[in-house]
Amino acid sequence: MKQTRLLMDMPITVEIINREATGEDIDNIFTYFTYIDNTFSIFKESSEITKINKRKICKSDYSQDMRTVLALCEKTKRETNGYFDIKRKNLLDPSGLVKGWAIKNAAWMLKQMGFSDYYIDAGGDIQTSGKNEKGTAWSIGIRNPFNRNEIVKTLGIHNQGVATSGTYIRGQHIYDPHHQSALRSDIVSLTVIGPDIYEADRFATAAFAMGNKGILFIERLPGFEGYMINQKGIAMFSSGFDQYVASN
Amino acid sequence: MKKLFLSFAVVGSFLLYSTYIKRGDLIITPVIIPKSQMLSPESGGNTTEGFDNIQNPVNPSIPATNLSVHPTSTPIVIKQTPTPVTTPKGQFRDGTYTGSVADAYYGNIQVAATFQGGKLTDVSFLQYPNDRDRSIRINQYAMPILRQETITAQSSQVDIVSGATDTSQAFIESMSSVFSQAKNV
Repeated sequence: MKQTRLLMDMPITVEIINREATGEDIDNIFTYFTYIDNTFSIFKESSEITKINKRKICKSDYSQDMRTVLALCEKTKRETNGYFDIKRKNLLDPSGLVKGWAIKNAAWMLKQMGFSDYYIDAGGDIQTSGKNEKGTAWSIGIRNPFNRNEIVKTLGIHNQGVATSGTYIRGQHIYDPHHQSALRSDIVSLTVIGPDIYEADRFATAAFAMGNKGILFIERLPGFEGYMINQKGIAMFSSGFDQYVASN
Repeated sequence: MKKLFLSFAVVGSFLLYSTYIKRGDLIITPVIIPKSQMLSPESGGNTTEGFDNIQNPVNPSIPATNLSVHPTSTPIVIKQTPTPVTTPKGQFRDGTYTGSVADAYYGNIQVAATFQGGKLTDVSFLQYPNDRDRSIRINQYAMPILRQETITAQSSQVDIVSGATDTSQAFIESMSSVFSQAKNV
């Protein structure tokens, strides 16, 4: 059973292989994403994050999820030497962490419901579990940043998270937090494979802000692999990345 | 890994110097010997620039090298083997020079080098990254010399595609086609 909906300003796909999955199960997942959108979207006037940015809520009234997310953002900022930073021009935008965190939570919900073989894809950030319809590892393609109809790599992923940060969308929206006015435009795509999508997403976001050095950061991070593409179409990848590449 | 980077920085300086002067004029036997040339000589011809331009080589299917260097506070001294060819004096002015401060990501690197009789006789570190892992031996961290490739389109079918979020891009593409069609030819 597979469904795609547009939420959080991106296509979100949920596919469950287990035969006992129902439409209601998938509905529950999308209900969760709607809640996430309503809480954390900076594009929604009524979201909690917008109210916080407009100083309409004081800290003691933050929701539990908001507290959790903001704490995780602080932790990630420390772990990445400040390269993960949700503050920009005095406003907070935790979307670089919320997306992976929400997908991970939703995948956990599917597991709690008793499913073993599924994936969730929210705007190119993916959490897989078990196997696909053919009984093999989920195959994930890395999109060509210069041609969205092509893939430039095929990966076999088993119970892991895959996140891609890129600039070819929304006019280079990734900023270098250490030089607020400068845009990071030397690399166009950085794909991170991690133990789960929450981890992959937050480090992909941070590593992307590091520009060319981002792949070195991923290389040094135990348990993570990365594939970085620069504006010339040259890719650089971490030393353990090959183990995930499916032969063509 | 930071110490390994320093080692390569030092070795890299020799490679830069050796391309700056003719080979045979200066033969240096460093304490650390790389298995293959790690740094591209074209990364910076100006030896006085310091180590800012150290980059991954352009054509590197080079495996990471395990080098044993103890991260002590004593400087790494590079010994020299005397060469039978007369070293022309004046290639390098005698003295001790301080290199520029280079960003090694987890901190800074800065070396000082001494020339005597036209030869490099001493190198020491003025700054190296201050990191909680300082006590860990360098050969546990291979210096990340990462492989590169040109991206190529794959023909295989996949279950899922990972890329940066694309709703806006699709919208832009779609709208631009609308404008093209709407244009009064």
